Amino acid sequence: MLTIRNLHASIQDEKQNTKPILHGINLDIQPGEVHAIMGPNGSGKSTLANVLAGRDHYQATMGEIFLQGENLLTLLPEQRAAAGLFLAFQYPVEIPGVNNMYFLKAAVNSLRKHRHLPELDAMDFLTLIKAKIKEAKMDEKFLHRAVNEGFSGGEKKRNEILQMLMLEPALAILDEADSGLDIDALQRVAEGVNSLRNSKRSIILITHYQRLLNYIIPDVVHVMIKGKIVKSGGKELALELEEKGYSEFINQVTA
Amino acid sequence: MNAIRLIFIDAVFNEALSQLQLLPENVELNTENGFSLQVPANTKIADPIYVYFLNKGKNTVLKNKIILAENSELTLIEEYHADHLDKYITDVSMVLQFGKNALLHYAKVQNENKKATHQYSMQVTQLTGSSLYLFLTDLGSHIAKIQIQVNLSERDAIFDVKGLYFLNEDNQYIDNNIQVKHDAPFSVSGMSFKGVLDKKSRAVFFGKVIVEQKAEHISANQSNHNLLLSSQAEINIKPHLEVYANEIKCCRHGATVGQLDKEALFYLRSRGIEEKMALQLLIEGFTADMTNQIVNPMIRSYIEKKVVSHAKL
Repeated sequence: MLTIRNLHASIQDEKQNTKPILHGINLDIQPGEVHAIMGPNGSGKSTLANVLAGRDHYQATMGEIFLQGENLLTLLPEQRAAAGLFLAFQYPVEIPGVNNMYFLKAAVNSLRKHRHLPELDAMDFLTLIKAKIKEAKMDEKFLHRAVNEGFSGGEKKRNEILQMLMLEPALAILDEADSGLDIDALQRVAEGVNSLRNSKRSIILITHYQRLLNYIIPDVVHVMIKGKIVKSGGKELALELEEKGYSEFINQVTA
Repeated sequence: MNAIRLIFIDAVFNEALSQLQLLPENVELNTENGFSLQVPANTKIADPIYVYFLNKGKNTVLKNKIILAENSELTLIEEYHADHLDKYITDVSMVLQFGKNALLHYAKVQNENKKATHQYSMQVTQLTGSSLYLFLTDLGSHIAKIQIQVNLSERDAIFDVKGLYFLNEDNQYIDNNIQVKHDAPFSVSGMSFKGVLDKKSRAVFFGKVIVEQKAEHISANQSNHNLLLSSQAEINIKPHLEVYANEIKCCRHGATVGQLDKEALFYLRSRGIEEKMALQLLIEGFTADMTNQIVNPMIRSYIEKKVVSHAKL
């Protein structure tokens, strides 16, 4: 599904200074697998997510990324979405004046167009979204509000899940999906993610804490420190981290 | 749209294309050098009147007038358009006179070609309890100069103007100059505009409100928000308030100039929406709260369609 080879990446700030963040990431994710990438703040987890999604000022300086055989680094953000990538944002953006339903329809039909499928008409779309919004356990009134505007933290994250259910990506990346959520909200988000798990879809969970992994059980856990993956293992690695913290790994890297 | 059509071609009334037969009999219409409408007292015209000025190449001078007698009501949409790409000038003067409690929902759509000069001056006099809800949509022309002078001469008169302007060519220019004089207590005025400017275009907005000494307890608000899509676009905003009354309810004005939200643009693109369409969604989002405020549903849906089809890049 996803192959990352020796990825080095930098961030460019407003003053055009570049700061190297990722120092040779290698990652292989098979269809159906859920991988968790854990690490302390500033380890480069979110940078990896943003490089994958193609955000401005996140520059891959070396290495390559293939998603289902497509060379991701040559694609525009919208083309990456068409290739099957979905990034659930850590901080979903509020877009005043743009109706949530209208936005979702534009997104669904854009992806269908990329995939040479006929666009959904108003009726078919309505049927689809009504089913999905139930699945996301959201109130229909959110469809008639502006995208994320005035949504609570939990509502924003659920709106990301709704988009994911609608767009059915091959690879979903959830950047700190649990940040700012209470237990109830976290469970709802986790239910949404779990309902998307199947043998063809891969998921990357980016998280600081182990808590989320109680609800979404990963197949593989990676520890990222200072822009490198320093250890990979099964789900028990997350528990080990919870117990011992990251200091042992940080010491390894700096030693 | 279910409307009574009045069509002018190069300022000449075209009866064949118009629907005079739908006009209520007691409404007086004169179609020399533009249109002049008189709505008698207590007459509420249910269907909107749609006045369409098509330019086929001539410079035109139009003298329009609407007189609304006491308790009368009218909804009117006025549109300017051309079927060619040559230079021309449209020069319009409009006189609006409101009797007591008269009500007018009035939308003006300026969709001239991109070489045209559009000059528009409007004089409004409003008596007790009368209301004017005016919506200006400027989509075209090379130069547009709009001047509006309003006299709220009796109490409880309401003047509310809202507008949208879109400039997307080098040296395209629009100048909105609006003056409202509150000459009576409890009168209300509102001016609220949004503009989208691209390339090396330029917009000027001058909103002046004068509150005379006897005009106590009035309320007057102004806002002007602009979205600049290019670093070379320019907007000059000058709100001006002169208050001679001692007690007024509120007199607020606010102005902003901003750029497109890059985070929002990336968010939309990350969902598979192409950059061009994402831009369009954001521009529509920016203008939507303006069109949403149009009180008259018929005018609202008409303007929304115009704006959406114009915003298509």
